[in-house]
Amino acid sequence: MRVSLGPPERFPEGKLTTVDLRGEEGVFDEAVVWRWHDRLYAVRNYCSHQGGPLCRGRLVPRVTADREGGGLNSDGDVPLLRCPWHRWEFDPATGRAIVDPAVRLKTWPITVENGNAFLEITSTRRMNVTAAIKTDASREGGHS
Amino acid sequence: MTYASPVIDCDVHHVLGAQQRLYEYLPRGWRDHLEGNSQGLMPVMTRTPFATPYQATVRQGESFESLAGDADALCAEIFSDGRVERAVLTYSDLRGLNGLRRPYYAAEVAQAANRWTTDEWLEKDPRLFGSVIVATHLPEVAAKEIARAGQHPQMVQVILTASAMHATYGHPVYEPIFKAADDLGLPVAICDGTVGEHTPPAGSGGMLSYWAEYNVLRAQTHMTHVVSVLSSGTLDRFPNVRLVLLGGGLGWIPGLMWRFDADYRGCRSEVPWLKEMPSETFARRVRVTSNPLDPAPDRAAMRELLACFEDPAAVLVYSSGFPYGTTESVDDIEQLLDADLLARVCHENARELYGWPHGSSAPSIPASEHRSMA
Repeated sequence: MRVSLGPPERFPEGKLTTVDLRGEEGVFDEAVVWRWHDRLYAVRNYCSHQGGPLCRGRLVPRVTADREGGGLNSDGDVPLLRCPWHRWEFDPATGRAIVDPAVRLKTWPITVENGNAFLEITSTRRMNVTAAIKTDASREGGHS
Repeated sequence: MTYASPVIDCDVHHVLGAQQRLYEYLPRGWRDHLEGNSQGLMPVMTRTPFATPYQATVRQGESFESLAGDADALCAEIFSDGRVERAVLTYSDLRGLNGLRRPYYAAEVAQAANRWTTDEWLEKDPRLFGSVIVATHLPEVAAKEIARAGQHPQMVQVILTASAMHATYGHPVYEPIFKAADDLGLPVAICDGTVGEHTPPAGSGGMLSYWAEYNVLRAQTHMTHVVSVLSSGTLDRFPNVRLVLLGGGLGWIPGLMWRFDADYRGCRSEVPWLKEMPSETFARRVRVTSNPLDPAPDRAAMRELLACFEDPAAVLVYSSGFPYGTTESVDDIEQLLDADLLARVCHENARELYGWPHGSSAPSIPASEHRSMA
């Protein structure tokens, strides 16, 4: 099922936005959506480690170390999503934790057609799902 | 006795006794320096301020010097029953080396100690193996000493006592030491406790007052250095180095690694030099001497403790701790360790650690010298 999110520009570059997913019975899930270099990412607003609210997390560079000395590299192409509770880092493309890839976030693919973004939901039980930006909970990545 | 195969003893303390024994091993310039400034007396090297219990030996009425003060006496003790085929010497009173406050002098004493070990111990019996002791005040100088002394075929590891610079051993200032060990493929042994008057306290919260405290808390030194070395990625940068933890027991390790693994998941970006779960690195690269074996209430409790390790048979290497009062024979550790572990603990793990070929024959001494072993 495709759920319309509206134009990609609704999601500011590098900022985490909470989106309510609403079915006929009401809100049944929350997504965290962000845009990075004109690509949109979406994960469930629930850390698979201990349930932390990912909407309050941060997008952080993937920092790696040189083999020698104290040099650090920062792979800024795709920042990692860091949970605010225990600072676990997740690859937004796969949803997998960097240190423990067996732990994985629920991710949703997003497609863009004719200037409109769509969240691809695999659930077939629900009909007429809509998405609404949760303005009171939307926030820039906070301190963790 | 159920384990009847050969034994490698990884922690035997050879004793200097009088520091003046090293005098002749010092360069002429330093001997003149001491003559001119302290009537030839060498600065006091404090091993520990807890003198009385520390002096307990394996046999009442015997002194450290009489039991382990020269190669003949020591070999007569540890090889007499024919079970031990190799013994790694790890110093005793010289572990106070890094308490010396004069950095160049400390480096000279370290070199003298290694020459003394080579000349008066290793050259006297091929079953004895040595540890290159270094003063850590000047890591570049220490590295040169490792490169020099470590060339001797019976020098099989580097030994680090208390940190002279008050920095933990993962601090990059010590990298020359690890690089030198890496170049020669030598493990690096880290001593427990080793509290002196001028080295960091063995108790992490402050200075201790009693031996009873010190003895219980001695593993705190290991905790500090192991966490430091793993966090800083030292073992990743120096792939030939393995750590050997001397004398601190093993009961503390599972809990520390559980905590370390859990925290690493959230702190990876702060210590990106650590490239895998700390417990994984520990399992592959760290070995722990058995003495003093944690006094578990029974064999089942020890079995449960070891089950907390990734490979329970791989973590321990047998050590007697001779000639201290806490010395443990293979018969002693058999009281707590299951029989199926003994071949690994008493022989195979150490053989792999020190790179002795599988099936290599035990070193032997000429028959003409057997007299001294009787």
